[in-house]
Amino acid sequence: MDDIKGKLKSMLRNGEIDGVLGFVEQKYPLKNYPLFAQTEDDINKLSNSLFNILNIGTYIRRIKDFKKIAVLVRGCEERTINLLCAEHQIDRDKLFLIGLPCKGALDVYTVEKEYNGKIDEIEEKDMSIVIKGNKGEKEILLNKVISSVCTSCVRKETPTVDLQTQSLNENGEDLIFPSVKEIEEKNYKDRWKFFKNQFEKCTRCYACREVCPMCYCESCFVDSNDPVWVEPGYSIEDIISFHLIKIFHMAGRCVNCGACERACPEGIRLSYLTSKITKDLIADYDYISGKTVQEKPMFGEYKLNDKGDFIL
Amino acid sequence: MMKKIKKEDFLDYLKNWGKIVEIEEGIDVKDLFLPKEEIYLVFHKKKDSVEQDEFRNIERKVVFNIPPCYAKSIELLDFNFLREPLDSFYKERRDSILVVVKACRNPHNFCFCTSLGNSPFDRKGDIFIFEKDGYYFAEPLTDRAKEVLAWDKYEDVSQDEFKEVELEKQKVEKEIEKFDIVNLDKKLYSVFNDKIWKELSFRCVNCGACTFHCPVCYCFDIQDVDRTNWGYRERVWDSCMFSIYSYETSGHNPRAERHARMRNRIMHKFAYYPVSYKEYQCVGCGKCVEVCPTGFDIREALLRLKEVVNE
Repeated sequence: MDDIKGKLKSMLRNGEIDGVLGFVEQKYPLKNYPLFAQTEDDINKLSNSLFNILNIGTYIRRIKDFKKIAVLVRGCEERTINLLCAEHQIDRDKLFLIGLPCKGALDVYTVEKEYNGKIDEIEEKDMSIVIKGNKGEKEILLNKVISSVCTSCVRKETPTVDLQTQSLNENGEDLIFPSVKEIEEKNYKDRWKFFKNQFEKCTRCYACREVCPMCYCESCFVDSNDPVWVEPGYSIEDIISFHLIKIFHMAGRCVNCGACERACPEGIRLSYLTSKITKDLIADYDYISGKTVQEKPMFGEYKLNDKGDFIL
Repeated sequence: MMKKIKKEDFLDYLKNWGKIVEIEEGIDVKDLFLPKEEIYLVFHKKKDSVEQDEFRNIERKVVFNIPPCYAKSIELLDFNFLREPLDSFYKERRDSILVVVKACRNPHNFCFCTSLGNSPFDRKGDIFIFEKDGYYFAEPLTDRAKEVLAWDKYEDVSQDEFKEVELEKQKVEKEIEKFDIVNLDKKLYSVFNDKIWKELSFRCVNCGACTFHCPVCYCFDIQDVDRTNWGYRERVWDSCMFSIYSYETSGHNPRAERHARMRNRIMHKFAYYPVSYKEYQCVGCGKCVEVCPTGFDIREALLRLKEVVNE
């Protein structure tokens, strides 16, 4: 990370870039926050850790009037940016992407539940984290607290960036989506029960929508009151309507980064929905969203051999 | 005066008064007093008439074991809804809930109640309790609490035991980090147009998590819901962090920009409200820090604002 920072600082001094967008470490709560670093001091603060729970792509469109900015990206964020470029939301020529290695992002609420006490400090190790606090020292294995989407990550490498900091592994592992399989095996009654339980917790704070880099509509369908697409209030049919319509709009655009799930203050497992569309697109169309900038969005292209057996 | 009562006995008295509600999350406390969805009326369309349903059924409840900060938030809600013009729906529900407050002995990383002039051992609610070896040291604080049990039957806690409570109070208060924002409220007006708000709000995604989980935030919206042949009028939570909250019929939005909405949230809690009513619109529970997807820390924000104000 120090080499990259040195390089970025010299680029900033030479005027090649206006600033660097990345995450800054925050001791507590266990969530790192985004910063647009425009000074060398600010660049020093940037970090790549398990606590970068959001997607940096959400913040690129907030920076106005720049010639060129550097962005620190992980695999899913790189694909997000490719998609945003393909949808003409940002200009790839104005970005300088730096690819970071990634071990996944932590599910903060699981960490807190596992420790069940006042956390003072968390140390990051290769395969685990060590938590120190009022309940003593506790070591938790990473695969226990890593976000479920990260365990079935489509691509951790960042092949399309401008500055590579990790070696590329072309032979991807076989993808399994354990959470989706678990739901698919249920019958429809149990499935309904599961999702009803999940969505009853929803307070409609729309954190999932706001942290999503692909949810960039100027006005959202749920905010429309003429016509009313989704009624306000907390009836289960309205809550589910919101989540399902949102996820329909995400098909082929969602990179399954899991930011929505980690942002949800109620701990709703939104990854069941996002992983399902990711899995289906791979199985039916061999499509992974945001592989390159040139690739057209899933629903922006038509191929003769597209699967069409669902059309009557 | 504090009375020493066996745990089981005390719980039995409470059960006789009403249904005991176990509170898991802070958001559930607000939901009890100001439900996220409250139906005002339900109607059915018949062939040539419209009929209204009877549906309000209020049962007596006991809110048990909430910390003093939440009891403080209920006081603030009361001040808002029980002032003229009185909110009769709120009053009806408020009268049916007995609030039992437990001394807070496990403050978490987000707590800052002491900085706002509150204490984890504040005597709030109807009954204040302190747990010790199978006993509750209980103190009735309102007339309603006196109806719950015959307090005279029980002996007072001894001098030593009372001292123990005081010592524990000092110990817990020390555990909570304290900062100083005295007189910040009036000064905040001077930085209304400062660039600090854009700096603070860069990370904010403008979701409503902080306001929904805030035990004091009481903004609501009244909506008519139209289903086929029936419908209802309801009050639902609303949040000043949403752009549609301040969107006017004319098409103008006075708080269209993100930083303006965050500024409004902080100014309302720490400037407008204390200047008008001499109380912060915040109890220092730290729930907003805990639930924020970006970990926005209101304590840091206030200290940063203090720096800017004093520049």
